[in-house]
Amino acid sequence: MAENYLFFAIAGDNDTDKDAIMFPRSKFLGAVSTAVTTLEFFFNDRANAAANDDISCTITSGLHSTVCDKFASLANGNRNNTNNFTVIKDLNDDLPSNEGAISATGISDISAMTITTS
Amino acid sequence: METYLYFRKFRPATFLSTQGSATQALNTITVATLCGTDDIDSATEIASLVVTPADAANSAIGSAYTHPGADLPLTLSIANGAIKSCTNSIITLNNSTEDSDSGYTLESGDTVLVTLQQGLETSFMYPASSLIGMEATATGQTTLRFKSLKNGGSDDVIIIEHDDAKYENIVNGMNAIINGKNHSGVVTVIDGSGGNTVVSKELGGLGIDGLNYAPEASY
Repeated sequence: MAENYLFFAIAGDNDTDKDAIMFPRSKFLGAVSTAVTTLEFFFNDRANAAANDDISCTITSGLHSTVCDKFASLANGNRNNTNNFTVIKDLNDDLPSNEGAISATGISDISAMTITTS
Repeated sequence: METYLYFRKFRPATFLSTQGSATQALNTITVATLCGTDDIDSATEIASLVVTPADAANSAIGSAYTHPGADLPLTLSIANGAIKSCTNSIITLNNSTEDSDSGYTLESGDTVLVTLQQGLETSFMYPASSLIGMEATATGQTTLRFKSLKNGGSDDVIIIEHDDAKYENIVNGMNAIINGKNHSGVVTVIDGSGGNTVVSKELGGLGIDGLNYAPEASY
């Protein structure tokens, strides 16, 4: 089975550091709630530095289980005849005029994200 | 295909602090379904605080409150500043000087009923490939270790409390969850949310009644 690549993009342009990021599924380490409306996903650090990378997501209140379920479904998805580019959440709302959305907006229960890399 | 192991702590959970002296710090929260003392470090985990005064004489209460009288409950306003701090399972309240609106100066003999909800580090998921090991840490307790989310040098730890002498059943059940053919994607291993304990069928009948989570570093 080919590796899935998991894509995250925050609102606005994808033109500065930490606006968007993509990880191989195999680098996913886990997720943890940080409040009733937030869930944080962790991945192995791309730069192999001390701390891992994470994406903190604002989610619909109390739906940690639902978001985890949807994430796993996307991460495990094996779609034939595609490039295994998997949108977990794309909040980019300022696309260039000649470009459309990537393919899907991802998990509907995520409304905002903060990307932290080391 | 990766299997993902999902856990959710037992909530709601309640703890009654009886103040032995006029201090704003409540007693250390200990709850059986949290395996004793879990590490409560965030006000996001506190659903409500209800004070029952020992007497009716206390006038050092926030302006938002009306004294209910002795032995009658008063719900404090967490949203407006009743909590001063929440660290290492000890909640400290603002007194009525520190927060004139929503503070409450406790007296000896007052009780405070703390109700915990889902919040910081109460819901968590790991890929099965991050499981490092499972060890019996007491006759009715099994500890699962996972690769750290934070990568700071130590493991993330999940403690499960269950009936005595069920360690082998727990590890057999975990093996069946991870390597069996009954699941794909997320497996809800233990879900204590909403007052109803739900466990994966592979762990059924083992008397699971406590879940504690200690990730490597806090947030």
